[in-house]
Amino acid sequence: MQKISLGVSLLSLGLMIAGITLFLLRGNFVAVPGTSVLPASDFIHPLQYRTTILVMSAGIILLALLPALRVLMALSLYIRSRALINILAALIVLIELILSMRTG
Amino acid sequence: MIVLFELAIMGLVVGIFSALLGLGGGIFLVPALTLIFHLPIRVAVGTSLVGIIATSAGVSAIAPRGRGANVGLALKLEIATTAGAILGSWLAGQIAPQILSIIFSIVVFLTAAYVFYKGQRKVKNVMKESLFQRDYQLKNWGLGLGFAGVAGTLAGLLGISGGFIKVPLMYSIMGVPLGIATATSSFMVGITAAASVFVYYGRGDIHPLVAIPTALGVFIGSMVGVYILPRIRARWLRLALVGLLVLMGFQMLYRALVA
Repeated sequence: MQKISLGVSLLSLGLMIAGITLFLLRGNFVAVPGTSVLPASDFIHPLQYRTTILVMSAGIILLALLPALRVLMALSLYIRSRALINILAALIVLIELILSMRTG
Repeated sequence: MIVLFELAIMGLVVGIFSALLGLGGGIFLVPALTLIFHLPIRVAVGTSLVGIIATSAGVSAIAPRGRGANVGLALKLEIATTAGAILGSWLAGQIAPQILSIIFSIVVFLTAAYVFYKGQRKVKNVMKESLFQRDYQLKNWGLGLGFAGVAGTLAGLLGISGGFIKVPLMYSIMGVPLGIATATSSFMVGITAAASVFVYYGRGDIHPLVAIPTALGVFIGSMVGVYILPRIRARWLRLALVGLLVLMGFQMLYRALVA
């Protein structure tokens, strides 16, 4: 469980770092809410910008899915050990997490 | 590029401070993002949630075996905490930013008081093994679930981990040994933050170019803070950080009321 967790963490970190690196290598400025820096879309091709943002977003989403993955792994362990109450608790938490994804 | 670098450095410093005080990053991060970078508070909260998940993932990846969380207890409490987090995240979109800032300042003051009290109280001569003893009876489930819901709501509303509610809840009210309560809380914070982060992402309150450098900085800073914590015993440092927390709280309150 720890190895899978570590693997997914590293993958999401890798995606985030890759996205930031791609963004910087193109020599782009950054538009951050609240600052006066020039928007990146004025300087790079919109498709390249979207790809870079997609890579970074994928990293964030993968990181956000990691806790759900850990709950899923705990659920599989509880199913094997037939701990009914813990199975129920894990299922409810998973359903809540899926609902939160649909709410967002 | 400079802004990305500044965000990462700020995240690093916040991560170290939070680890030194035994807090999640949100309590320092949200004020820092709003006061220094002038980000809207909802964006700051969304960014903080990403940082919390990153730190939680890192901590759980390096946690020592055999001294981990009570996962069964965590999942049962998470039923209430996750529901609270979704509610809190939704509420954050309905409440005016000024009100959010005021609520945050109040929580900052309470957290500072809690950390100060924790530092002042005499440490009992407790054997290390009793922090992680296995034969304990869980009690006060109703109260536990109620407070877990409150912790989750605050976490979703303010982008904090809620550990300062969860650990005393499990330790003092539910009868869980302190070491296990702390580890269980660490397991829980990631799930709670994940429940909120999708709501903020869908609302457009998470910007990758802000969240990623900050989260990376907080993650590394937390690891550094955990490493140096046993090597620094200066009481003055703890008091200085509590003072900084109070100052940040007053700044946020001032801006919400006057600006």
